[in-house]
Amino acid sequence: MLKRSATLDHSHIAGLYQRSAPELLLYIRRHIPSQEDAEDVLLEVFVAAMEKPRLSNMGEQEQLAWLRRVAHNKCVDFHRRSIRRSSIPLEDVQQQLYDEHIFHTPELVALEHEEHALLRTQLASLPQIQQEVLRLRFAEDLRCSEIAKRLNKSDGAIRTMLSRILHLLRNIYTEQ
Amino acid sequence: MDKDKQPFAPESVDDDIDQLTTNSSFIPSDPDARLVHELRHVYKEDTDSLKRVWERLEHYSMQQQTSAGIRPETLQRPAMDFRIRPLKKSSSNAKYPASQLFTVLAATFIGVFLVGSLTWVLAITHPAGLGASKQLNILSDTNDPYPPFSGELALSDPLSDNSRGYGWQETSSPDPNSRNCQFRGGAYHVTAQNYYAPCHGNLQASNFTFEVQMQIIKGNCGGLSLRDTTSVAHAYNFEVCQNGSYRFNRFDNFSDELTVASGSSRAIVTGLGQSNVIAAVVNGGTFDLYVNHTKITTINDSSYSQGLFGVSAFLDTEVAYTNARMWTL
Repeated sequence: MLKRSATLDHSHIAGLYQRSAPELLLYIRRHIPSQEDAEDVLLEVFVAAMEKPRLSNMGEQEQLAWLRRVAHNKCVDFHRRSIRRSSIPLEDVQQQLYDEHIFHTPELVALEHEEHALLRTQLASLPQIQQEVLRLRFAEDLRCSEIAKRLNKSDGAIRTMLSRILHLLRNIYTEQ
Repeated sequence: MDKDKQPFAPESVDDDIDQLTTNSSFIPSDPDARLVHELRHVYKEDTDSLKRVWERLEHYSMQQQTSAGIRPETLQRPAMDFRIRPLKKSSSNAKYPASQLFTVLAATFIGVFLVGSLTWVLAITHPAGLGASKQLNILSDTNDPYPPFSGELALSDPLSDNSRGYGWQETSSPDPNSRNCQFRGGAYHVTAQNYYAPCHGNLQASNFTFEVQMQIIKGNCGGLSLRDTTSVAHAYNFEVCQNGSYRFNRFDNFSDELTVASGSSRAIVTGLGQSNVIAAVVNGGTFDLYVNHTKITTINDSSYSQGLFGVSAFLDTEVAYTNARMWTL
């Protein structure tokens, strides 16, 4: 019986992770630029979800709202901890030095980091459906027709949505 | 791409993205190519992160199951040994500074007193002693986890074989309707070659909650057969598909199928071989439908009030079912 309960929890968390984790990660990366730190925080959010059995009785939107709130609180906790412990991951420094040496000047690298942060900020502020369309196109490499089937929308609606999002995002690179 | 043409127009957005995609590690100078490059980079980074976090979460979950403490209290703060990069461990002193120590001790004392009192009251009201606490644990594990949380457990079957006395239908080979219901490899396999194949137990119920774990081995959709009267072919079916969609159908005769509701839900774990826990709370004319303990929709339909319940497969599909539970309301 205990094993069975654990399996139930696993499938519940798997479903929750599949539908919420990409959006939460975008949110977390907006506030915590380091990939490794963001992964730690995302993990903490889902461990908290595993510890909250009543979560399974909530509706989809309510669950997402709860997870967003926990992610927000974990980000705040992270920054509180970081005030006393300012550090840069060694691999970031190595990469930065390598980038600067091989490819660009320090000014260009700084500009790219700024663009990168701006892009993440824009992505995190998009509505959930637009984030999902971008994720399916750029992470899963699906064509518009395939995304349309997956999301139960028309091909035209997805094309228009993707076109609008890309026009919005390209301003980051053209308004310079 | 034509330089005079506005990029990312709806009719050419897929082709534009493909044309602007480069495999080079150099960041392109053209703003559009740069956007595509950056988006690919961001999403690749995120996909890798999501995989890594999921692996760590699974590792943590396994640790919790295999350790002695499967009890809820051990699922508190995670042990730090599953982290890739250890964070600063907090000592008990850091967690409870001296100024708060008295409060913590007082709270602990009150907690012990309350638990002791409760144990004493239980011992008085339930003279069975240790047996009573064992009974309590069993009940909590079989409690109806779906609203209104009031069901009484009437069926609990791992579906590894037909030994529990629930009389699940079995066929040795596909029957005339190309339906196959078999216990195989520790699961109840339902196969539909042509159309809709339901396989039932021998229990009938009007108002109940039915839950089962489903794994689509091949094909498209599986689901729950509800209030099915096979003689007159009245039935409801809650269908969940491996592409993330669902349907709720009503059968009014042997050939007509009416789709009462349909849609897609991100609660469904997509893909073949994935495990989903599907459930329906059937109460009067209301059907609350759940996937992985998340309510995905509510249907109101009062056409049929009673019948068999079971599991099903649709159109050239094989589904393996395990862990069925049913509570009467």
